[in-house]
Amino acid sequence: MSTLVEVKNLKKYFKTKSGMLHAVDDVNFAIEKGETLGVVGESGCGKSTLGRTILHLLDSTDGQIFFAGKDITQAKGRELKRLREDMQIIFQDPFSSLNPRMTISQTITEPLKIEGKMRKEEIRIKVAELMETVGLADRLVNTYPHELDGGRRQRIGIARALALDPKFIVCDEPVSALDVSIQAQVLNLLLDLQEKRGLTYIFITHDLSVVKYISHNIVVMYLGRMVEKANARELFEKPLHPYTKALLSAVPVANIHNKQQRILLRGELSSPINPKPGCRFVARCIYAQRICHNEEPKLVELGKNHVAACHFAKEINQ
Amino acid sequence: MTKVLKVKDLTIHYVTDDAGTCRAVNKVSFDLKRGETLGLVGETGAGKTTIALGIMRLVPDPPGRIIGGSIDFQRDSLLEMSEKRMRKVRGKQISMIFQDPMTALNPIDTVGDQIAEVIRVQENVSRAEANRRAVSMLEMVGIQGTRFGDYPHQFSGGMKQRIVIAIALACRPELLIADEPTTALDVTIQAQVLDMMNNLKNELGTSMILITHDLGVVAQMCEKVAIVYAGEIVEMGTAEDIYDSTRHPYTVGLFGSLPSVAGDAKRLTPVPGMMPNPADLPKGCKFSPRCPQKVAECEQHEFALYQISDTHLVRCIHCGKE
Repeated sequence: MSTLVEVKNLKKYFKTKSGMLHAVDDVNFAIEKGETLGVVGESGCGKSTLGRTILHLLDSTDGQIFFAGKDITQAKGRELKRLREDMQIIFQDPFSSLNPRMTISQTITEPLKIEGKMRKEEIRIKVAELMETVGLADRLVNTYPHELDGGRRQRIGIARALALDPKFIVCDEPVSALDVSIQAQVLNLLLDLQEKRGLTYIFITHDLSVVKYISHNIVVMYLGRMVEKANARELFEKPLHPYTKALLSAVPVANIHNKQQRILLRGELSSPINPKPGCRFVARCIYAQRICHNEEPKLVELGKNHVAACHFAKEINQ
Repeated sequence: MTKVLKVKDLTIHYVTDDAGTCRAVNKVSFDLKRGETLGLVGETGAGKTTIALGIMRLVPDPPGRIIGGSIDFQRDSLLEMSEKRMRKVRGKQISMIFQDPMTALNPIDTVGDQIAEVIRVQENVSRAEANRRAVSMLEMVGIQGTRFGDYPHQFSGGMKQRIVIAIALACRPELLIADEPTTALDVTIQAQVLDMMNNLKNELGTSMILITHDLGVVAQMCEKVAIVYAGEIVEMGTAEDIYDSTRHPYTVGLFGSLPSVAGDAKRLTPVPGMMPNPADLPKGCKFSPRCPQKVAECEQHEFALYQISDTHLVRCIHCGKE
């Protein structure tokens, strides 16, 4: 297997009135072709910014982005346009990410027109194929988004992302706005597409059960920092970082016999603007000691393909 | 145990000129004992919120109309009560927590005033006394009393929801209706809020109706569960009945849609298709167009809730045959 997407020391800061907002701070990972990297974290942890920065929807502040072995950090103009044929995004909100004045076929056609390689008739056939792939009935071809429910709209978003046969798709909370039964239908669709087309995904979500279901590897983010990364199964069986442990224990499990001890975190996310030195999680951590306030913990390899950023990762997991 | 609430055959329609009659709630019956928590579970548009609004007598009219049924709360019949008396019930005896804490609070009034207001209106106490109690309510939900004079925008989402809960519990109501109280919150904050609600409920002996689409939250909070589909209760029972001996095909589908954090990932088995439009409900069993166990009879007539044990009710032909 080969690495398709890799980021090294990626940073994205936003200038705000009150200082520098560290949305993504020194993130590193690589994704193998055909695999899914899940990115989890709570609102404001920088997971969406991460996805958008990789796609150049936002300019990175520092660090490098590689795609298929090539450094694309500085790509722009025609080169970037070519790249975007291979890198697409599915947005969270199927209500605001579709143009209300375009029909389904217009929406799916648009990327094909911009690419400019197909004739009209070819495009028509391609649109029909795409609609079939994502499970939209062809009678809907001329309907507008407002006539459709959330699940169908999200399918349009998926068809649009697939139009140029990309290799890599950033899925930014694609099922959060959907009801569970519709959510399950869309998740199954994404898995089928991955299998058939060998797609590589970054799957951004706050829903831990969804991320476990769909991902090969998982990155846990907290206030712009990557705090833990591991194989999906390993992360759920043996979380090492205190934040990951608390996060996993907080998930309500649909089983009345689940008597697992919950770790209740005190307090809330602190501000990502001009973060203090030391560990970002220190204010909510039950294991915090002096060193945690002064020194930023580095990501340490603690198992095969399993890294966590905690000064006491070894001690608390004994 | 005494019954706090008894809802019988509650039917609520929204009547519109252009979209026809939308049958949002159809003959819903359930009851609630003191200190008990009932989970109302279903997808968007199932009618969960309309049931809650019906109990509060807050269904917007027009277009909403309570067509029939009865709601008995303690010794009173809520549907026959005058609006003036109903206003004394709301907030004092029955309170509601709305889904979105961002829009449930008044942005131009301090949070302390918003809590004190309920107490002043309902209990005829002095301003100073109401303020003093508001401070203690804030502390009870885990917010420093010194933040009495702060405005909603100065709080985070989780804290706003705590304030909404403080308002709802300020007059120690006998019944609390919580409409998706933690849906807008992050998981770690959700865990904090649920934990707090459980503690407060036990402390005050409040009965609760918890409306949610999250079967995980229900497992953690509720003794009794009702699954709502297309305006009807399709399955109801104790938490054990619903989680351990699931019977209705729709409930089975709901569980099949949930990826699990425990256990290993297998393919999800959701119900195909979507919930019917409530303005155009199918004939017979409303779930029949999506049901994997459908037989010809399902489409011919409607089914009652069959009682399959002392506590477990299921609206399905396959349970009636036994």
